[in-house]
Amino acid sequence: MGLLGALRQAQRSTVVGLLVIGLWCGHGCVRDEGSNPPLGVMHFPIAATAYPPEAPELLYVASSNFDLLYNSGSVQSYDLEVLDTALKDVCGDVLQKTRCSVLPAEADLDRLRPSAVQTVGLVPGLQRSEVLIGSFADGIAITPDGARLYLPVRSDANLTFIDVQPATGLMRCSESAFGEPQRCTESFRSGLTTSTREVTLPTDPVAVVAGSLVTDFGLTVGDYVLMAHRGQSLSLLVDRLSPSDQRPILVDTIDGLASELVTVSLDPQTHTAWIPSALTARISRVQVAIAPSDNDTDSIANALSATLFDVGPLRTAGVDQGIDSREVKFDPRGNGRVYIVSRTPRALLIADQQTSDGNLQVHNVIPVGQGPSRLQLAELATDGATASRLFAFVSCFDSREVHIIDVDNEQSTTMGTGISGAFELVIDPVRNRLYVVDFRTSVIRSLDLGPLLACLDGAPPDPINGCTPSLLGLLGIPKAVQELQ
Amino acid sequence: MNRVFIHLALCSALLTPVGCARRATTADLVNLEAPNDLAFACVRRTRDARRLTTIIMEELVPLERCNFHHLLESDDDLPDPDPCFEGTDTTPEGQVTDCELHAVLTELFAGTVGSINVTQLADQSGDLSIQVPALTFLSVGERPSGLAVWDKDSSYTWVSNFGTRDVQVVSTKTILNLEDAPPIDPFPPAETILPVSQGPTDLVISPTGHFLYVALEEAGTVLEVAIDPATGEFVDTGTVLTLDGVAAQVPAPPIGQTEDNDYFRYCPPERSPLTLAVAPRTPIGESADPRPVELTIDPVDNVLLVSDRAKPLIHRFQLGTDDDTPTPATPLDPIHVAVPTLDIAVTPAVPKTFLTPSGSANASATERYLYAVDATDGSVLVADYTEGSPTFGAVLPVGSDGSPVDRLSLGAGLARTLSVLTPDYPEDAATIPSDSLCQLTDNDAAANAIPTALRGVFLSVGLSDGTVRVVDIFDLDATCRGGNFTPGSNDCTGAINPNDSVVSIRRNRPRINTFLTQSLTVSATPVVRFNQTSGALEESTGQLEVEPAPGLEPIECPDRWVNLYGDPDPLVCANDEPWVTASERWDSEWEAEIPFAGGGLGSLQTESLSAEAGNWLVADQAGFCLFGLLGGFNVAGLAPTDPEAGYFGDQLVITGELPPLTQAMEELTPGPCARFFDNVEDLDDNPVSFAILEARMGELRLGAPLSNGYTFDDVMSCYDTLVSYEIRTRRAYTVTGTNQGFVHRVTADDLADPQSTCIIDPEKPIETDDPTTYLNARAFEERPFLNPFVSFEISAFPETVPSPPPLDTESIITFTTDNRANQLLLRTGQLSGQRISSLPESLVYLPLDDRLYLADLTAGFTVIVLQPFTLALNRN
Repeated sequence: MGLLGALRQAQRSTVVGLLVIGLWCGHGCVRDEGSNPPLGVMHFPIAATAYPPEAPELLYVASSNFDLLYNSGSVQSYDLEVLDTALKDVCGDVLQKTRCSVLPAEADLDRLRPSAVQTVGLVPGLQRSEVLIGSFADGIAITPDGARLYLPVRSDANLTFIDVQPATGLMRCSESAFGEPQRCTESFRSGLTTSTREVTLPTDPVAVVAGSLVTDFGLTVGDYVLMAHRGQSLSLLVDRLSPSDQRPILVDTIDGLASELVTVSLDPQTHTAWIPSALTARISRVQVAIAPSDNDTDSIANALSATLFDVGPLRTAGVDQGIDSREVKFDPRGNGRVYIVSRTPRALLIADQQTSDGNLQVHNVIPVGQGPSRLQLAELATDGATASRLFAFVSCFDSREVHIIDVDNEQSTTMGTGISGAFELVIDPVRNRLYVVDFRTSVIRSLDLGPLLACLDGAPPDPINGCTPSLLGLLGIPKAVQELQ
Repeated sequence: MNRVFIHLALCSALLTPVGCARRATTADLVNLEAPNDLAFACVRRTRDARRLTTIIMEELVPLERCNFHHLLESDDDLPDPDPCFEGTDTTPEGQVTDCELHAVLTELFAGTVGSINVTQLADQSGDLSIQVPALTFLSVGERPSGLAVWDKDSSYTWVSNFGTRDVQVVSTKTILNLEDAPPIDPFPPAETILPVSQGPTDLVISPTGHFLYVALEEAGTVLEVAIDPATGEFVDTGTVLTLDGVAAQVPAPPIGQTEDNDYFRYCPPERSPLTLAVAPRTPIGESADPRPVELTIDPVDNVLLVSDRAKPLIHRFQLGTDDDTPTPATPLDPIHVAVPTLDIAVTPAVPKTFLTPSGSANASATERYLYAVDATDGSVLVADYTEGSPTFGAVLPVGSDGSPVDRLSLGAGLARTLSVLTPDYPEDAATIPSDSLCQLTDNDAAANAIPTALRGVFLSVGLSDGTVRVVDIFDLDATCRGGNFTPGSNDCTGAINPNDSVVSIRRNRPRINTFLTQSLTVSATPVVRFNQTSGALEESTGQLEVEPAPGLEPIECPDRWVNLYGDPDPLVCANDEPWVTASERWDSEWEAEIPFAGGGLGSLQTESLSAEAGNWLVADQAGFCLFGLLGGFNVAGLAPTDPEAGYFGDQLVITGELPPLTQAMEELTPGPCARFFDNVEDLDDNPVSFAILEARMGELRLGAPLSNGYTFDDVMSCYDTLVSYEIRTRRAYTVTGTNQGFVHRVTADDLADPQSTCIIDPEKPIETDDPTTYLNARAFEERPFLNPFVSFEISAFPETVPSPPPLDTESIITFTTDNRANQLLLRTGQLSGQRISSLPESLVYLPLDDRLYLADLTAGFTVIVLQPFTLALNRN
C-alpha cells in the first residue's frame, strides 16, 4: 500500500470512528435530560438587574450554565433588604469576608459541599423566586414597571420573557403559578410574534435593553425591547400594547452593523442605540423611529410601524487601537457625554455623543485594569449630601477588579480588588451597595460603598483600606471552575 | 457528551462577552502593572570581575555620576573622564566598578513604587521578593500620582498618593533593594507619611532639595512642604500656595512669520513657509475656581509652573536658588493661555532663526517656548516664553492642516505627556557655538544628519493613539540638510544625500521622518465617471478623450501651492506645506449626499417647532448645522468672495419606505401613496426631494419638490409618521476627502437650540490671499474650487445635458493626493514585531544619557533612543 492508500485507509477509519461516536452520542446523550440546577444556586451568573432601579428592593440574576453542567440556566430573584440584613448577621463578625456566604434557605447544602472554612448562613426569604431558562443567557432587562423580564438566550436563539409580580419578585414563565419552581415553556422561550411586516429574528442574541414606549417615545401604551445579535444585527420588539398581548412583537430588524456586537444601550433623548463591537473600531448607532401619539389607537399603530435606521457607525479614533469596546453608557444628566469601556486600550473613554465626521470625539482616556467588561454609572452624594458627582464603575474580568472613576474630575478614584470574576454590576443607591456578579466563582459580592462616600464627604481615608468599598460577604458559595463534565 | 458538543459549538462565541477572550491575555510573570510616573537614581556598584553577579559594594551617588556621554565620544577625541569615578580611589584588581542608572517608577493600580536597573537590563535587583513569581515592589499608598527623587542626593523618594491622600517618604535604597537598605516596614512610621487635605495629583521637588510641591486639585491649592533631603523628614506639614494671581489679558500673538523672525529650513529654494496669523481665543473658565493638576519646574529660571484644569491660567512661582538656605516660593504673574491646561514643558533658550553652519550674529539663544496640553480637547498649544518679550505668554500660530491654527498638528490622538528633548544641545548656552552645528565639510557628521536622528531641541509628545511624536524646535543638523545655505540665497545644492532635496524643517511643526525628493503627488491619474462613461482625464486638456464629459479646467495655483496634475497648465493644485495636505482620495460628486447629515427621526410638518407656518422637516436632535447644511436663506448676504455666495441651498431626499401600515393598506387598495411604493429603488434616479430654503439645527424649511408628480402635502400625508432622509447638495458637486470629510465652516448661534439658524461662522471669514480659510465643500461648474488642501475647477456639463441636469445625472471626478512627508513617530506598543495596546502616561527625557523614557499604562516601561529615534526597550 502506498502512502496515498495509507492515508485513505486512515481517513476511512476516522470516518467510521466518528460515525460510531456520533451514533453512540445520539443514542446515549439525547435521551439524557440532564439534571436541573440545584435550587437557590447560581451557576455562572452573567447578568443582573435591580428593581426598582432608583431604590432597589429586588435583584434578578441570570445564570448562564456556561459549562453545561446542568440542563438549563436559571433566573433568581433576591430580596435585597433580607440580603443586607443577613450579611450583617452572618458575616458581620467574620474577619475574612470572602469566607462568608449567605444562601437561600431552599439551597441544598449537601449538594453544594461548602469548604470547611466557609461560614454559611441559610436565610429564609432571601430568594423570592426561581425559574429555569435555556443555557447561555447573555443579558437581562426589566420593564420600567417591573412586570416583565427579558433575556437573550443563545441556546434558544431567541428572546425569553418572564412575567413578574413587581411587589414580590415572584416569577412565572409557564402555566404554573407565580413563585412556583418552574421551567420556562416554549411560548416564553421563543414566544415572539411578528407584526404584519416581513421581518425575521436574527440568530445569536447577546444583549437586550427594555424601556417604556410611554416615557421614552411619547406613546400612551406599551414597552419596547432592543436586542443585539452578535452577527451584526439589531431587533426592535414592542410589547404589552394591550392587556391581551401575551408576547413581544418583532417589528423591525436591521443588519450590516459592526461584527461581534456585545451590548446595547439606548439614549432616550436622541432615541439612538449605541452598540459596541468586540472586534472592530466601530460603534454602531441605530435610531429607533417611533412617532409619538396621545391616543391608544395611534399609539399602537405607531408602535407597530416603528423602524430602525442606521445612522452610521462611529470610529473610535485617537486611541490605540480602539478595536474592542464592551459597553456604552450615556451621562444621565443629559449633557451629551458618553462613556465607553474599551479593551484596547484598557480604559474608560469619555466622549461626546455629537459628532460631525463619523469619528468619536474622545475627550479623555482613563486607564482601568485588564479585561474591562461592564460599566455602571451612579451619582454619589458629596460634601454632606449638598452636591453629587457622577462615578463610573468598571468591572475588569481579567485583573479581578472593579475600578471606580470620578468622571467629572476625570480621575480614577479607587478600586475593589480580588473579585475573581468581576463582570456585571448593580448599584443600590439607597443601601449604598455595589453588587458584583462574579462569573468565575458563581457568587454575588456585596460591597459597602460607605468608605468611598465617607471620603467624598471629606473624611480622611481609612488608614488601611483608604476609600475602597469594603466587602460585606457573598451571596452564594464560591465554586471553582471545573473541567467540562 | 452532548453537553460537550454543544459547549464546543457555542464556546468561542461565549468567550467574548465574559472576558476569557479569544485574544488570550498574556500572563507575563515579569510584568509592570500600569506604571505612571518616573524618576531616576544612580548606583555605583563594584562587582567581582570574574563573577559579575557578585556585588562587592554598592552605594547611591548623585544622578550626574550616571552621565554616559563619555562613552559616546568619537575615537578622534580624548574621552571625557568617567564622572562615576570622581573623587574615588582606583578600583582594586579583580573588581569592576560602574555607575548604573535606575529608573524609579510608580504603579498606579498596584499602589507600589519600584525600580528597574536601566544599565543592567537583565538585572532583577529591583525585585523585592524572589519568592513571588513577578516583580515585587514596595507598597505605598493607593493610586500613587507623583514621584520625586532629588538628583543631588537620591537617598529618599517621595510619593504622593491620590487615593490615600498623603505624601510618603521611603528609602530609595529599599526601593532599589540595595544591600544595606533598611528593611521593609509593613507599617510605616507615622512620621514618614504626611496626610494632606485632598488627593494630590502631582508632586515635584525643588532644585535645591528643600521643598516638595504637591498639587491638590480639589483643594485648589499647591502645598509647599519643607523637607530635609539628608534625612527625608518632613520639616513641616506644608504651607498653602494659593492660586489667586491675576493674569493680564490674553496677549496677542506676533502677526505672521517671516524669514527674519522664524526658524525654518526649506528646500528647494523657491519653497517658503506659509505665513499664519491667529487671534487670541475667547477665554474658557476665567471665573472658575483653580484646580491645579500638574507641576513642572523650569530648570533655567527656577520657576514652578502649575497647570490648571479649570482656569485658563498657568500659575507661576519663583523658587529659591540658595542650596544652603531654604527659600519659600514667591508668586509670579500667571500666564493666560485662554484654556485650562494639563501637562507643561518648556524649552531652553534657542536661536530665533535658522543658523548658517559657521554661526552668525543670530546665533544668540534668545527664544524660549512653553508647551501645554489643552485640557478641553487634548491638543497642544505653544506660547511665547521668552522673558521680556512683548508677546510673553501669547499662544502662537503653529497649526496648518485645517485644525486650529493655534495648535500643533498631531493627528487625532489626545496629548497626555510632554517632554522637551535637548540631545547634544549646548547647556546654558547664550550663543550656539558653530562647532556644535553640523558642518557639510564634515562628511561623517553630514551623513549622520538624517531625519530620524535628533540633535538639538525638540518637543516629544505622548498621545492617546499610542504614539510618541516629535516636533522641531531647533535642529543642530539642519545646517547639513538640503545642501548649502547662505543667508539671502537659500542655496539648496550640494546635499550629501541626493535624496534630501525637499526639506521641510520648521519650528513648532511635526518633524518629517524621511528624506524626500518630492513630497506631494497625485498617486493616479484623475478619473471621471459620467453616467455610463468613465475614464482617465488627459493631462494636457483635463478632459475625457472618448466622449464629452465634465472634466477639469486649467487653473492658476495659489501662491506657494504646487501643480499636482496638468501639463502645461495645472489642473489640480495642492498646498505644499507638508503638514497640510494628507494622503487621501478626493471625490467630487454631483448632488451627492452630505456625510452623516441623514437620519431616521424626521417628521414632515406644516409648522416649525416655534409654530411658524410652512413646509418643514422637523428632527430636533439632528444638529444639521454641524454637518454643514445650508439653505438659500442661510447664504443670503454673503460677500461675492465667499465660495457659497449665491448657492441655491441643499436638498432633502426622503429615503424611507412608506410606513408599514400605509404600505399594507395601499397594497390592499392602491391609493395616492402608491406612487411612493418604489421610493427606495428610485433614490438614485427619481428621488422624492425638496429644496431646502433654510437650515436650522433641528429643522429644515422646505421649498418646492424637485420633481413633478407630488406635492409636500402628498408626501406628508403618506409619510405620516417618522421618516428617514438624507441631505444632498443641489446643482453642485459634493467634495469630500477620505480624511477631511466634508469641509465646512457652518455653525449656529446656539448649537443646543434646534431652532437656531445655520450660519457661516463669522469667526472664520474668507481671506482671499489665504487658502486655509476656504473651508468649503461644494464645487460648482466652471468655478474654481479651493479648500485648504486642494484646488481645481470642474468644467461644464456637455451641451447635450439640459440645464439643470436631470435628477439621475451621475458625475464623479476622483483623484488621490499622496503625501510622503510623514510625521516622525513611534508606536510605543510595538517592539520586535509584537503589537500591544499603548497608553503613554509620562515621558521623561534624561540629558545624562540622551534617552527618552516612557511610563506607559498599558505597554509598560519603554526606553527610546534618539539617534536614530527608535524604541530600544519595552518592559511590560
